[in-house]
Amino acid sequence: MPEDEIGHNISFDRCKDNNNSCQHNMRSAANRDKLKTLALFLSPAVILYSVFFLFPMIQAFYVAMFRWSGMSPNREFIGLANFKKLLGFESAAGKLVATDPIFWKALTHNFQFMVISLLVVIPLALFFGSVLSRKVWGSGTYRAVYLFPNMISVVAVAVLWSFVYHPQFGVLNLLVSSVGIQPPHNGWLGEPNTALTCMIVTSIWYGLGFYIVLLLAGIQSIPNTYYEAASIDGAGSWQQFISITIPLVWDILKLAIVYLVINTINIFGLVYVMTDAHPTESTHTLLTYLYQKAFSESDFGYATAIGVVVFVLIFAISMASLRLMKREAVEL
Amino acid sequence: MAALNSRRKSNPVKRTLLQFVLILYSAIVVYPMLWLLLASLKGSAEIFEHPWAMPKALHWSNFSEAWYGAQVGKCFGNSIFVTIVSMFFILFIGAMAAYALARFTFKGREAMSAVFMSGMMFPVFLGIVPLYLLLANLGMLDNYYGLITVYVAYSLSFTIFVLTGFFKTLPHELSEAGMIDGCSNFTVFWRIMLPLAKPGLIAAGIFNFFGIWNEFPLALVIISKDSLRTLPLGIQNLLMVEHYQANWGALFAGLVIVMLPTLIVYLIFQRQITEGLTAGALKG
Repeated sequence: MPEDEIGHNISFDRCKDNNNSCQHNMRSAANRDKLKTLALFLSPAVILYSVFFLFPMIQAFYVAMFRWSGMSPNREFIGLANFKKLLGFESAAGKLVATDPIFWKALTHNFQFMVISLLVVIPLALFFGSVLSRKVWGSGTYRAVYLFPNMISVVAVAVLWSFVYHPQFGVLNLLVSSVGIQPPHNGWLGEPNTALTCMIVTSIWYGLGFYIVLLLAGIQSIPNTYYEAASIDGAGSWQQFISITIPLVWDILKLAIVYLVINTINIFGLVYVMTDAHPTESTHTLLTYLYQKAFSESDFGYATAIGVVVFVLIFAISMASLRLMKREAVEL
Repeated sequence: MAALNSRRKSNPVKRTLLQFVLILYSAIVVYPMLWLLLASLKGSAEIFEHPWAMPKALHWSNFSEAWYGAQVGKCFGNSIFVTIVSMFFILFIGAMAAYALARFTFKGREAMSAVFMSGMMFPVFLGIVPLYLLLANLGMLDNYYGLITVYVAYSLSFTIFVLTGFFKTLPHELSEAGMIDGCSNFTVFWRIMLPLAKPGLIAAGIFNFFGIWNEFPLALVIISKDSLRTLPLGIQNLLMVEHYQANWGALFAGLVIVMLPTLIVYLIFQRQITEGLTAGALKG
């Protein structure tokens, strides 16, 4: 829609046929009136948003440059030293070691969340989206059921699933013992090498429905005639999927992937609750590590530096994935 | 919109196979919740001994124990209060700003819209330390004012985004007629435009309801008093406590209590929710 059609000027002329001075007076009075109205309508939002949202976000870039513990007024400007410690390496006993190994572990865990989610969620969402777009019995009900986990509090999901993995009466124990595998002694969440995978599975269970609904809507907007034409030409389901569905939902697919990337970097509540508020080296993610630095260790400057890195990471990865998937979407 | 009704007929074997897969995934989604519902009606010993059986007797006492003993009722009240008050301010303040951004031309309008939109890009925790210190200085830590103010500020980007789109679609003539009749700008907004924007307000309201009712990280940072905990905080705390007391029945009942309102709202507004989730994506 062109801009002029949307922008609606309230100073519409009521004295078109009158002389110039009337027009001028009416105009400036209307202008003053408009300014007052604008101030009335916009100031609550602008003030709240700036003071409690935007300003702290911007301030973070500055706070990240201080050594600052707790609520004490003593803070010391240290430039980029927090970032150097966070991202840097030093040589110890002839080997290159990260100055903050936990940060790198947390980052790796976020990447595991991201890569596994991308590999599992996107194909499954495409599959279920395509299936539900057909005239399938009960497709509306399936869609509603699949989306529901997304509406539950992430805390409830995390608590619920810590019982799926429970060492005494968890359902997973039953499943694996029925095929003759010995469940881990400390429970699935207590064992360093299974805990992360368990949390990734939970996050997929939690989020998949959203991506199904998103892609389903995209697939549904593809005109049926395309598929009919392809059928007449003898294309099978798979061929139709590859040469019609994928190119025509490409834009939404891109969006889904960017969402997924952002969500997996921002993961916090699930991990925090499933680790009983005490993530370890083998379960920390970037934001649980940030939270621990800020609110358990009162290392405010350092924690904020982690926040800045997360911001940059999200920005860079979403830009990169948009760039990588740059390909003209087929216009309908 | 294309008509999809007659999309490809597949053969019966394939159809059955697809139904099987669809039901299988439904079972994966529903099973943990069903298990929870059953477990919430069992005694603690029964959960251990027969975790997969139907409850022998219905232990409704789990619910009263959760509600009164484990403070879930208190948290429930807190959550209701915080959600309703926050939603009121979010929709009111957000609608006023969206109205101004959608219906008036003024210098810097585009820039202001862009600044509001940019809020959807920031990770929640980027500014958490400065925010925490700001709230501490203003005496807004550990009370409702702080939590609600922060919820309103954090939700404005999304709400203004949704509502601006809505106000732009409303016809100009109505507000002009109101102005000629001598109504003030605010009266036009309140009496004429806001009622017309009801579908938009409902859509924004639904998503804010889920956002705030389920919100965890900000509440965790801002609230530490037991008596002020919202439900997600209460449930998280209950999980940690029950690990030592093993009073699982009450914990499961608490979980059912958290999930129930979201289930009800979801069932009522299911169509709007699915449409709302996808509308932005498809038009964007």
